[in-house]
Amino acid sequence: MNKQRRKRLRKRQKISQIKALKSNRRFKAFTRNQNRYKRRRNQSFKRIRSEHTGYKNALRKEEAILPDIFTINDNLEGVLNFIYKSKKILERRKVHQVDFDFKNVRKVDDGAATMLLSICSDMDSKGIRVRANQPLEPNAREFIIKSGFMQYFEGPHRKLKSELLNMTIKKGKTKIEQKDSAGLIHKSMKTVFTEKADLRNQKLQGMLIELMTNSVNHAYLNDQREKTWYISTSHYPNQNKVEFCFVDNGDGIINTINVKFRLLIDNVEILKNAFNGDYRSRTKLRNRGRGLVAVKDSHTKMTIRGLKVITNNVFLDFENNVTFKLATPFSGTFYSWILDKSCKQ
Amino acid sequence: MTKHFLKISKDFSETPGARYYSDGNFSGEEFYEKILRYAFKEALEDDSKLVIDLDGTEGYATSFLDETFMRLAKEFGKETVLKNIELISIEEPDWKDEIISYIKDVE
Repeated sequence: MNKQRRKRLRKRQKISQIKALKSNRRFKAFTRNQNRYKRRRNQSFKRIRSEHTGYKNALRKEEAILPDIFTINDNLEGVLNFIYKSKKILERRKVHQVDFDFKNVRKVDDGAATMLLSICSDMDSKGIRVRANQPLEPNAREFIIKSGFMQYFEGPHRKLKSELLNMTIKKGKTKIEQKDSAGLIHKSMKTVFTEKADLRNQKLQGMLIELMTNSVNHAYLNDQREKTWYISTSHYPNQNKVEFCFVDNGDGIINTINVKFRLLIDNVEILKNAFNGDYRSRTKLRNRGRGLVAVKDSHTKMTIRGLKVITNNVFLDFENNVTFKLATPFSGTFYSWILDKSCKQ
Repeated sequence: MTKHFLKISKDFSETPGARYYSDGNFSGEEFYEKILRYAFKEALEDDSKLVIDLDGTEGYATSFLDETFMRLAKEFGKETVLKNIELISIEEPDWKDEIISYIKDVE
């Protein structure tokens, strides 16, 4: 009996000791920290393990290596192929981060940069982290820094800012932002016609509203997608020149026309006809379809020059009257043009 | 015949937008429903012409002009509209012809 009593007493003592210990603040803090540590260790382990084994909660990274010539003028197919692959990443599920590798890039231009930025912005709005490094080639690096391109990416180069930033990008969502486009035009007119007091360009403003309207109202056949458009302006004050680019990542002019009219003619013809306003008369609404005609008019009436259009599998150069089919399609519409002293004020 | 005056840049906006309310601010639909319709009615009641001054804005999209004047012609009849409006567009003379073609296009 005595033994049993002693045992019970010891048990009670132990329990009261443990209770006292557990109520102790220092002990509580210790166990809290231990738990936190365990949780963190498990998380990092899961991440590391998941990266290597394809665990279902994996932090999925994609790496995209840019072509060394990243320009529309010199390597159109290369750029479009890269853009096509980047868009495929966007369509993939559960991609958490994309690293764009600029290291080998030797040449970049505004058009290719704007196309890429439009995709990066779409990735960002989908919650995908977008990172980039800088080109090793000095000229390409200088171009990138001056353009302020890296500000749009995560990474150590994000804070790099130049006093000579010459590229402005405006993003629009589901609405027409005519005040923003007017602001871009004023800045551009100041670069081109330095001595001019009136910085308006009404025809160009009209054209930009047409492009934004087309993107918002017609470019996205699937209404559930976010309707976005991008305008970039690159200023070259020494040449009194500004390069404009406009991009949307919708379905493209040809695809949208094909869905409406189910045409059985060549895509090049479809695009040419669209800019001539041929599909306007086919609709019951005779007042529609003037937007693309107005865009073409801006070029023929010399408000702008060097108008180029890339949409679906067609490239159209209005200035040189060159049209050809592309091997890699561009799902969306891309316009680029120049405003310089030869343009009508 | 007396004249009523309407200057879009002062009476509506210096940055007119696109066609519909859903497209964004200062659309053609908004201009027609809030301003042009009443101004034209008033001018007709006074047996006078409505002078519409297009100058002074940042620029117009064809959809803005089309929606505005197409609806005006639909509501009041294209003959009445052509007879009772006068357009001023010194900065971009092309717009005058375009607007007249939009009015004539109405069936």
